[in-house]
Amino acid sequence: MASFLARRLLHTIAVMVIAVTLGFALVHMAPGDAMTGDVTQAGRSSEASARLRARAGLDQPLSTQYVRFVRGALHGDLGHSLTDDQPVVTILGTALRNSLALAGAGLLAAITLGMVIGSAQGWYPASRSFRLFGRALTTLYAVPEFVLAIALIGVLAYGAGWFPVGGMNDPVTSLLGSATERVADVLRHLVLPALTLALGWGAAVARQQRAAIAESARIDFVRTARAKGRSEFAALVRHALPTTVAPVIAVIGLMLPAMVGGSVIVEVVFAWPGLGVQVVHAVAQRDVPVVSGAIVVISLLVATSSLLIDVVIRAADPRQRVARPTNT
Amino acid sequence: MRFSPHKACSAALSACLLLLGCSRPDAAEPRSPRASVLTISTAVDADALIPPLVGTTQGKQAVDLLFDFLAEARTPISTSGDAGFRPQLATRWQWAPDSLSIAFSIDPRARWHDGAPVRAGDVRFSFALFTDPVVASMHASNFVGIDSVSVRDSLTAVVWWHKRHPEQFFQIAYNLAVMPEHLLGKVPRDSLLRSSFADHPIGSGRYRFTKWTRQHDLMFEADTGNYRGAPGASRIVWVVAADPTAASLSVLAGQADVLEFLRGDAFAQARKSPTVRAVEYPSLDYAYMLFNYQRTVSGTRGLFNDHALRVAISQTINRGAVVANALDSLGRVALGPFTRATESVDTTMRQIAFDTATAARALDSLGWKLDPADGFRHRAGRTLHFKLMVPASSATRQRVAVLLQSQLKAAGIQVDVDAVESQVFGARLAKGDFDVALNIWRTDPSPSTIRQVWATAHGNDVEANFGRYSNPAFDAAVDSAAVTFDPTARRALYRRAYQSIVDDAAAVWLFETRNFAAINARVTPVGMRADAWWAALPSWQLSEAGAP
Repeated sequence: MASFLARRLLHTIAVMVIAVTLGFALVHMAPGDAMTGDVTQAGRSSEASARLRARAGLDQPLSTQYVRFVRGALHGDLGHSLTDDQPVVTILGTALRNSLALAGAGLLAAITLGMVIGSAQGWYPASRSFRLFGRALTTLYAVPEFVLAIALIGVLAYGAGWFPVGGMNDPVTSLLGSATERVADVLRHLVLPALTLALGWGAAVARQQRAAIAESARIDFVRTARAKGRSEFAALVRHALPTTVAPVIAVIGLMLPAMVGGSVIVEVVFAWPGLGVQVVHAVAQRDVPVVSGAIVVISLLVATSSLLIDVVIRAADPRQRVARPTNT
Repeated sequence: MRFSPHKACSAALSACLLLLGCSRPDAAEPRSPRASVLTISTAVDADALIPPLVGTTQGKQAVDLLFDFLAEARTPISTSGDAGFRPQLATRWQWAPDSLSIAFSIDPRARWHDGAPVRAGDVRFSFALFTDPVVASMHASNFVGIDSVSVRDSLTAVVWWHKRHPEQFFQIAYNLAVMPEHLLGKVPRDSLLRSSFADHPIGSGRYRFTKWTRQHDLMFEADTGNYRGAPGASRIVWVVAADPTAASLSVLAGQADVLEFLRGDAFAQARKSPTVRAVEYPSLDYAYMLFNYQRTVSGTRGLFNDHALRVAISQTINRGAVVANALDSLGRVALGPFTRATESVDTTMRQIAFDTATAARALDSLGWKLDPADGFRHRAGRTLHFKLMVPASSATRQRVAVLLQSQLKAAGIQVDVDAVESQVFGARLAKGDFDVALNIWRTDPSPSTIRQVWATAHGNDVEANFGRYSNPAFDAAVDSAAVTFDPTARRALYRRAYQSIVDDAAAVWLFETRNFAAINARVTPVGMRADAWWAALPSWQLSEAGAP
C-alpha cells in the first residue's frame, strides 16, 4: 500500500506541474491583458497602463514571472488579482467553498438517483416503469448541461416560480434573515443547479449500477439468499448491493474532471459564485494571477480526488489488493 | 411485504409532487418585507467602489449613488456652461471675472456616512487622487486643462483652469466624485484597492454601502438622514447574472426589478408581460464598420485612403435592411459618429445613400472590374478582398457581419468574417492589426470627445482612432467648436464637423442601439439619461403591489 501511495503521489505531482506550467504559459500567450481595458470607451493613457503593468510585474520576462509564481504558490501565496487587487487565495478560497457545496450536493443527488434507478433497473429488468426512468435519465445525459439548466430555469423557476432563477442566496435574506431562513434560502437556491448536475451525472452512475446489479443478481450467494426466502429487497440491499460499490466509485472517479468542467457552465448559467464563475470572469479580464491560481487549485482538486478514489477503490475491493503473479 | 417497483415509482412521484406543491407561493402569504427593495439584475459585477479606479458601467452606477458630485446634470444633459446643472454637494458656485476659476460653496449640512462633515479639503483631495499618476486612473484625462483645486475656507473649494473653454463647469462637476480625505488620505496611492475603504466605502450620497459579495451581489441602503433627503427605495441590490437568458428571466419572473438592456426574445417577452415594462431611454452607442487606413489590403498599401472606394463601399450597403434584419426594433440606422441623443446633432443631415448602380460604376472606374467567372472584382491580378473582424462575444455584430458579407459579395467585394474573442478583438484593434473591424463606441456626453476617436492622431498615441483616420477639415471644425462659447455658433461648428466626416465616408455608420430596460410595473422610473440611466435612481418610486 505504501509503495502504491508513493507511486500515485509522484504521479499526482507530475500531473500538477505539467498542468500548472502549461496553463501559465497559455494564459500569458493569449493576446490582451487586464490593462487593455474596454475598447468601447476611452481608457487610461499608455503611460498609466505601463505603470500598472510594471506594478504587477507583467513587464518582466515570462521565465521570471513563472519562477516568482511557483515560488509564491509553494508558500501559499498566489498573488493579487489584477482587476480588484484582492489576494487570489481569498478569491479562490471563497469560490472553492461555494463550488464544493454545489458539486457535493450534485454528486450526492447523482449517486442517490443513479444508485436507486440503476439498482432497480438491474434487479427488475422486466419492469417497464424502471426502464422508462432509465431511458429518461439517459436522454437527459445526452442533453448539454446549459440546455438542461435553461430548461429547468424556464419550467421550474420562471414558469412555476418554485425556485429562484439564479444566485446562491437572496441578498436581503442573507442580510436580514434568521439563521434558519438563511440556510433554507441557500438550499432553495441550490436545488436547480444541483439537479442540473445530478441529472447528467446520475445517468452515468445508473448505467454502471444497472450492469453491476444485473451481474451480481446471478452470483451464487445472491441466488442462495433468494432461495432461502429472503425478501427481494433484503437480497438486493444486503447481498447484491455491496458488491457494486467499487465499480460505482470508479465511475465517480472518472467523472471528477468532467464535474469541474460541467460545474463551470452550470455556475455561469445559475450565477453561482463558484470557481467556474471566477475562472470565466478572470479569463475574460485576462486576470493572469487568478487564472493561474485557479489552474493550481483545480489541478490540485482533480489530482487529489483521483488519488483518493484510487485509495478508496483499493480499500473497498479486495481484488485490487491481490498481488499480481510474477513471470519468474 | 413484497417490494413492488410500480408502488415505489408512484411513491417517489407523489413525494416529488408533494414537495414541489409545498413550496408553491401562495397569494395569501403576508406582504413581502422586500417591497421597498429595488433589485437590479446585471451581467457584470462592479469592479471597484473607489471612483478613480472604476472601469465598468456597473462600478460607475454604484459610485454615482454612493458619492456626491459638486453639481448634478439635468436631463437631457448639456455640457456647455452651467445652465444644464443644478446644485448637489455645492449649494452654489461663483465664476471668477476672468472665468479661469469657479468657487464652489459646499453644503454645510453634507455629512459622510460615518458622520464627519464634508469639507472643501475633500474636493481638493479628490482632484489630487483622480490625477495622481501613481493611482493611474483611467479617468485622469477628464481633468486635462484643470490647473489645481484650492481651499478658500472649510466650505469653499476653488477650481482653477489654465484657459477658458465652454465645458469647464461640466468637466469638474460631472467627473469629480468627492471622496473623504479623512479616510483615504493616509492610504498609499498605489494600493488603494487593498485598503479597508475598498471593501467598505463611505460616501456622502443618498445611499450608503451595506455589503458586497463579489461576483454575486452588491447592496446599498438608504441614508435616511441624508442632507438631500431620503431616497425612494430603502435598499438597492445589484444581483450578478452572467448568463443573459437567466438575467432576463429573473426580471420576467419577478425576482428582480430592473435589467438595463433587453435583447432578442427577452424584449418580445417583456412587451407581452403584464408585470414588466420595456422602457426606452436614449443611447450613446453607435456601431460602425471601421477601415484601417494604414493597412495593405488587396495588395494596395492604404487601400482605404481612397475616398471614392469608401463611398462606393458605403453605397453598396443597405443599412436599413441590415438594421431591420439584425436588430429589428432594437436599433436605428446610424447617422454618423454620434447618436440622436448627442448634443448638437442634426437628424436631417445629408447621408450617403444606398445606390448599388452608382457604387458599381465607381468601382469600375477605380479599376476594380467584375469577373463573371468568380463574381468578384479584380485589379492588377488582385481580388478586392478584406477581412471583417468582429468580437465573437457579440451575436448581434456577428449577424450584422454576415449580412454585410452577403451585400458586399453581391457588389463583387469578397469579405471574410473574422470572429475573434473580445479581448483579442480589443488587443488587435489597439494595435491596428485588422483590415476592417465592426466596432461599437459609446460616446461621451461632451461632443468634443469625438476627437478621441476621429481626430488626426499624432505620434504613437492614437487614443481610440484605431484606423488612424485623418481629416483636417473635420479636425478644424471640432477644434473650433470645442472653444466656442456662443451656443448657436458652437452647434453650427459641430454640425459642420459631423457633415464633413459623414461626407468623407470615414467609416460605414451602421446602427445605433435603442436601449430598452426591463422594469417591473411596480417601479416608476424617472430621469433615465443617455449617459447614466441610473442617475435619478434615488428618486424612483416603488409600489408594494407585485413586490418579490
